Amino acid sequence: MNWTAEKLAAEVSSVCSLPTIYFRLNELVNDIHVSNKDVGALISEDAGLSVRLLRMVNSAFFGFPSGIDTITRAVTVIGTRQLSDLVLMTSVVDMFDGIPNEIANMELFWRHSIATGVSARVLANYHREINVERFFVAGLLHDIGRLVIFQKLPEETTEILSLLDEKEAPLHVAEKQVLGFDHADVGRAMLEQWGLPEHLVVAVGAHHQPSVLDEIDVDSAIVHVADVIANAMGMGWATEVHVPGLDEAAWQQIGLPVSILSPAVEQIKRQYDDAVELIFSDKAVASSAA
Amino acid sequence: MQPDIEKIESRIAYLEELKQWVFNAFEVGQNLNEVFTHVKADKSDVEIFDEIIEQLEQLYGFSKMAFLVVDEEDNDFSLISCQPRNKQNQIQAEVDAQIKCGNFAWALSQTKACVVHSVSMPTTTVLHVLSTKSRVRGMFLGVTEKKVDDVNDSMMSFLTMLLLGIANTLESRELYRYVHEQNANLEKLVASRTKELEEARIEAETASTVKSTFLANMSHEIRTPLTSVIGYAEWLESGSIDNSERQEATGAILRTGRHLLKIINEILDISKIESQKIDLEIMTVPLHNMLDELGHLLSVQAQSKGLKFEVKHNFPLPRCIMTDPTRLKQIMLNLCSNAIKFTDEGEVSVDVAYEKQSGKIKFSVKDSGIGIPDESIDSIFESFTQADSSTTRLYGGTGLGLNISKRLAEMLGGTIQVSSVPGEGSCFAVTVDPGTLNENELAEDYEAFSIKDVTRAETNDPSKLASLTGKVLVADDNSDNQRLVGFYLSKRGIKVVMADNGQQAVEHALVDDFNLVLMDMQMPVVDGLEATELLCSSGYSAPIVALTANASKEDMDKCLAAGCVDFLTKPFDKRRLNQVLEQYLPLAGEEETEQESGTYDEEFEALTQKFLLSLPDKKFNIEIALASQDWAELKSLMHQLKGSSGGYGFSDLGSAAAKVEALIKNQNIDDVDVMIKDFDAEYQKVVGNQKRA
Repeated sequence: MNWTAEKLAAEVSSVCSLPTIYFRLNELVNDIHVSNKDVGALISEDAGLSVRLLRMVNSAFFGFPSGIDTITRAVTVIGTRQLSDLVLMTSVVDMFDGIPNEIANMELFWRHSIATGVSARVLANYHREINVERFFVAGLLHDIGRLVIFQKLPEETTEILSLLDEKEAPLHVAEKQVLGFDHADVGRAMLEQWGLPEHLVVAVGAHHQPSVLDEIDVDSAIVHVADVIANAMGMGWATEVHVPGLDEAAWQQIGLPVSILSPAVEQIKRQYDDAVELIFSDKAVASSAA
Repeated sequence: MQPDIEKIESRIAYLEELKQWVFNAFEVGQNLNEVFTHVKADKSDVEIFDEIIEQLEQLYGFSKMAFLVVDEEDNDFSLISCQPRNKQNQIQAEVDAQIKCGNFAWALSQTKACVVHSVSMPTTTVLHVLSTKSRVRGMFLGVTEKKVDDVNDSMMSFLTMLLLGIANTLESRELYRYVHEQNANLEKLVASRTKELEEARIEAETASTVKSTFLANMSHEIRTPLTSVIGYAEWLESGSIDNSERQEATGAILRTGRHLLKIINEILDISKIESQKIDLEIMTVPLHNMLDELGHLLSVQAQSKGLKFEVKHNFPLPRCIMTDPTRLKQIMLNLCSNAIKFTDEGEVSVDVAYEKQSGKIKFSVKDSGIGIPDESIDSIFESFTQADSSTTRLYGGTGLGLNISKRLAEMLGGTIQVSSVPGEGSCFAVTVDPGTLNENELAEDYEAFSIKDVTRAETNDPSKLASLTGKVLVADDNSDNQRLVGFYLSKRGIKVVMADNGQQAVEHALVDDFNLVLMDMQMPVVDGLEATELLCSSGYSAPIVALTANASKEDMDKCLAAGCVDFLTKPFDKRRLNQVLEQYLPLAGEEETEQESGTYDEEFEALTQKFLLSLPDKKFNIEIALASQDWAELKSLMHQLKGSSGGYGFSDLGSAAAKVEALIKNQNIDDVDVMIKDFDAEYQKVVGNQKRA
């Protein structure tokens, strides 16, 4: 079977889909008539989601000075738009529960994705982005294509992995060699099919080689740099032998001074631990609540 | 149907409300757009904030609002604008409370509105950071009656947009101000640099003009007499001239020729001074002798004009001073002949005094001549200027004399000062540095001052000198000098050890115990300077006195720098030698006084004979050097004679040798022949008479 990234994505998205609550939330948020109370009410319908949300909002991940005890309040603090991104994040993590551990260690994979998400969010904060949560989502989803490949093409995966060991090549190079496309392409296709916002689609698709784009947009640049940071810090594993190379142009595009890296790394470390705990333990909570 | 209609109606009402708000928002946006373009400084920051607050009030209905800005230096947030004005304290209290509970800091890290409970009131506070991508500039605080949960997200998004615009405007204004300031600074800098350059240029131009003027004047001053000489010579050649005219012509040629020579010599002097090629020869100069000499020369000149000339002494005066006699004489002659030249009747006097305070000797040349007008006083020291150009014709002269005298005086450590009353007379006072003087060297009266050969008289009688005890190391490569010094030393009861060069001197010094080392500065193998440095750097403690025939200030400085405590010039001044000995050697006790066999005079005579006998050999070497044009060797031979002859009493021979040495040193090889003739003459005198010259 001749696979293309699009075909693969189509296969998966027909099976896996985002929870309805995500779409309902999006609809609600775009309606100005709606207040934070209304949004809070919607979320409260999903107990598991509510719990996770409150825990997240009260963690170092957000660093809010005082305690937040109602969903509505949480909505106010996070902001409605960012909220939908967070819901997306939790949904995605739930989706990929069933991959056997021999092919890929799921925990390590999610750790890396979380690390990339956290790094992207921290970088976005320094960059004074208005909506930093979407960077978290972009980081979290950037390697989703890998999961798809592992799940759907186990034979080819083995080939790719052995090529990796032999040649010590970057994953996406090995993938291109064996399949003709890489996990970034698959990820892009998937997000597109889910109807997610374009900036996310582009950022995920270009996270290894942002320079491929005519104009490197900030989202892609940040996700790329975040991926490099996450690899360099050894948080989780992205199936890479070496830390991927940094695209200079991407860093330039972000336009932040190198001096921010030191404090940024400190923040990333702190938030990463919290985020991992939130997501993994929440999964347990969610499945038990469901 | 009913519920639908209700729903529809409420939705319509809401949409109306929303539309209105959106229109308002656009209007606010437009109004603020004007604010955003106020980049230049015609409005202050406060005024801008006030305008913004007004607009925001209209749109959002905040009951209280405030803008805080960050202080560059202490990173503190201070309130710059608020509404209502009279509620400032309350507003500040809310700000402080929000800072305390951490919401303020949280808001700083977000790039959106942070809606929180007010602390001091049951209202809602909206905090929004004011920042650009590069840095945080401040914070906006707004208080609304709405409940926290009811605050609309999208309205807040609009606020974000506005505040971002404001932050950017502030940044632009700041940058604009900075650029403006930099420009102003730059302009100031350029202006001052231009001024500096202009001043430097003018200075350079002036210097260049002065040089050109000098050259022009110089060529004029040379050409004029030369033309005259040629003119007269042509007249003589033409033959159409009778005897009286012939006298006149030759007289004129002689006169003009001499004048021309004088000018050229003086110009050479000036150029030497300018290129600092003048080497002063500092030596002990008996003041009385010099003044006597001057007196004789100048009285003749003065008398020929019917003027009186007098030297007036103001005691106490030192008997001898350390200076360059040739140059000092040159100055004195210049000043005195000027005085005589410009005085038609009355007298010219030289007033000599020792100024205790400044430690200088002052020679004041006073005349009762035509005087100098005030405005000309400075210019007379410039080259080729006399006080009045008409005076050149009347009184003659080159116009260079005072210039040279002034420079020479400066080289001798002093100055020339002028005071004058036109019609009554002038006073030119030249001061010179006499070197370090001993208190008891000052003569209190004329008798003490004018005793000739007072030094010889004193020290020639050995019974007058106290015996000393101790050991002295003498390093000198010249055997004549060795014998001479050895003689003087042993006469005073001192033990002497000789060294032929610096290396031997160092070896002896380190092995033996000496009270004093007399080190000749010019020796082969290791010279005196090096030996002194070696000894001093290895912590040698005995005093080292330099013996040197080179009396220039430079050489003296070198000796002192190498570690010598004092120096003696050759030919020896016996008095100075004894002074040094007395300074560093203890007096002998009664028992140690030894009587040398033979009298002093007899022994000295014997030494002198030895010296005389060595002369033919030296002369022979001189001839060889001359014939083979070995100037280095000739210079060395002359140098040695310069140092030793005087010690044995043949000072004229020594001077002649000195002159030859000086010529070779200045690479004046052409004049050596002439000077050698002088030397030969002196030599013949010495050898022929076999007596002290």
